[in-house]
Amino acid sequence: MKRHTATILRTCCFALAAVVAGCATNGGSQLPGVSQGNLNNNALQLAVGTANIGQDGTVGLNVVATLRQANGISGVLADQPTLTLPSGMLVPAGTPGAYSSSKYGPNVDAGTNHVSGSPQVPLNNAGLVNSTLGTFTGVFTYGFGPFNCDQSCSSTGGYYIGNPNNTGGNGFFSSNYAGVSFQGSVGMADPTQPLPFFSADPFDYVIGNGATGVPQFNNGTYPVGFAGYSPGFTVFELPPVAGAYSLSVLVPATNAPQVTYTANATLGSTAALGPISVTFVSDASKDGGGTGVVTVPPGVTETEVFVVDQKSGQYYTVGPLTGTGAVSYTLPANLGPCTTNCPQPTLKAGDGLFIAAVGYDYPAFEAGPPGNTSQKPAITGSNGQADITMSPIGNTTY
Amino acid sequence: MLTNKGKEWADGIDFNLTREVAYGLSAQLTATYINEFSSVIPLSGSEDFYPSIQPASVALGNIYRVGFLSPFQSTLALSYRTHSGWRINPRYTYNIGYPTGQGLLTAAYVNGVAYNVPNTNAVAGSSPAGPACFIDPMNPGTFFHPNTVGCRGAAETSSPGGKLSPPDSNTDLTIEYSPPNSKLTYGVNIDDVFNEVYGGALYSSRYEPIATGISGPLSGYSTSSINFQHGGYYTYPSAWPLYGSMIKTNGPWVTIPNGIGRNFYFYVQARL
Repeated sequence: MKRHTATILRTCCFALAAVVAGCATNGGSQLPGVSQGNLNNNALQLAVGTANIGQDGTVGLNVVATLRQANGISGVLADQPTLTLPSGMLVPAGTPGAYSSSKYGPNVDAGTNHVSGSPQVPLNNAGLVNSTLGTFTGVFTYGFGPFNCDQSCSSTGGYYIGNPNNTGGNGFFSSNYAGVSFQGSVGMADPTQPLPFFSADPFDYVIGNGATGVPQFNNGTYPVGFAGYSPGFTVFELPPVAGAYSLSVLVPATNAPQVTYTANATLGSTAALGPISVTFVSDASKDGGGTGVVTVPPGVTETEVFVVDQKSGQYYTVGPLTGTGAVSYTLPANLGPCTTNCPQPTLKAGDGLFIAAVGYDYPAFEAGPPGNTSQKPAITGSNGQADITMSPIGNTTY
Repeated sequence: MLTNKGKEWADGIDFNLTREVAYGLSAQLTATYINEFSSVIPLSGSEDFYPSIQPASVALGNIYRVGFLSPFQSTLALSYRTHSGWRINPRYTYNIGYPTGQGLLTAAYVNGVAYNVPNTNAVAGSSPAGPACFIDPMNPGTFFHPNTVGCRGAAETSSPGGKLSPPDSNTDLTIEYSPPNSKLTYGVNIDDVFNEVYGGALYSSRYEPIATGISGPLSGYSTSSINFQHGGYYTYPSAWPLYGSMIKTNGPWVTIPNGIGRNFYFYVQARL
């Protein structure tokens, strides 16, 4: 009997040793390690200024923000900004938000001194908050944009200028802003989905091929439909008020501590830059290029001319131009999309065109990508503000 | 296009040690080290049957480690039989982990020419389950030199399937008793003693990246507009977070408890 008991004990020990070893590697429930970036290494900047909106002759508020990593790349892929205005500067009561007020209630910003975004929601829009910026607008390397990532970013592709977040649900398809713009009025896709509240006449300002130092990005080696780079400014059609402005940007991390960045700026003067205007003349040979003159008011230190081909959907930019008064510019003839049989004409006879010019009193072009990779680029002029003047938007035919 | 002109080869070594006795301790120890490579992109949905391969990968002649084999697997089976009729039989299997990872490179055509380019969400390449890294929306760079805001944060090699998941094991146990001078045997068999129901780490196809290794609030929520029925109404999109921490959904990885789990089989055998 003793021998049997010992035998059973020995066997049980074998079994126990085996199962304990098995327990030590219960790998199915284990997840591989994940290294995480340090969100605290990002830096947020804010500048404010006046915006002379030539299209409707009003003066609004210009906001420039950067949220960057140390290498100049965007700090995060999704965030939720809130811009706090001086106490006496209110978003008018009744101002529509990103979404239908009948479905989601009034804009939470209306009647307050802040302009905010909404927490992200799932595809059924459950819990959607009606705000000015909606769920999709974030702050990135150079300004605001509707490029907040969602759960589609890891499977179907990313969002970028030329391919904004238009995922159904997630608070987007309910947006009042989808497709409402100059470009949308002629059947073009919006590369940035401008927000009507930002301007009475929303227009997609995109730095396209042709600007100094901008690479030929429509050569087939950039993401499909990439339209160009951000000029960095966002205009709110609210009468500017002198005082302190603050921008807070929430990063809604779920597997790391949430981070809120804050940056402040002061608007010392509400005096706007003078009006700016621009002309465009097609080359007589219709070789694809054109020339024009920008009438630049005093105080502007650099100017960009934006040309949009309504037919091809291409965005072109000339600049930065310097000087004031009558400043001539030339749109090169051979900037067209080109992967083979290069070069291709910039414009073609019969193409509809949008023409606009924007003048800045701060180094707007130098602060933006792709040329600028600093974490905190200079985004104010000598007066400590970021003032701009925008021409009326011309609509012509090449 | 259907073709059988792909490549596949394997090499490795097997080890088998057996001791078998009528009474006392019998044992079998096996171990297999194997490297198998194939033209088939590992971990893709069609890897096992009629695989579909991205044309750019074929054009480049890319070869990958297969995703369905662990490079090292071992099994230890012990059986102790006593003269008094007891038999105790634990069985323990172990693997060093299965291939995983998206790969930092992906095969894609750029202007009609096949390249292995960085695996970002700017390019629809050959990655088996989405991109490894995510481009800057305002300064994306090129397919060849993308500017990425962040990556999934997991260790990766250039090739999909280049890393291994955590080691895994399974333990089964049989205990039976055959009374002397009886034709009956009474026993219990326990499959999956430790109730390991998780299927192993997978990249989440519903991951909302915010920065390297950091996920956003929509991680785990369905990318489909089709809702699941709840309380008679199709009002809830398929959302993994509804299952709480059970499937570990708030990061780039998930593991789903879809295994059978612990099972007990009680039996009586009669010898004729």
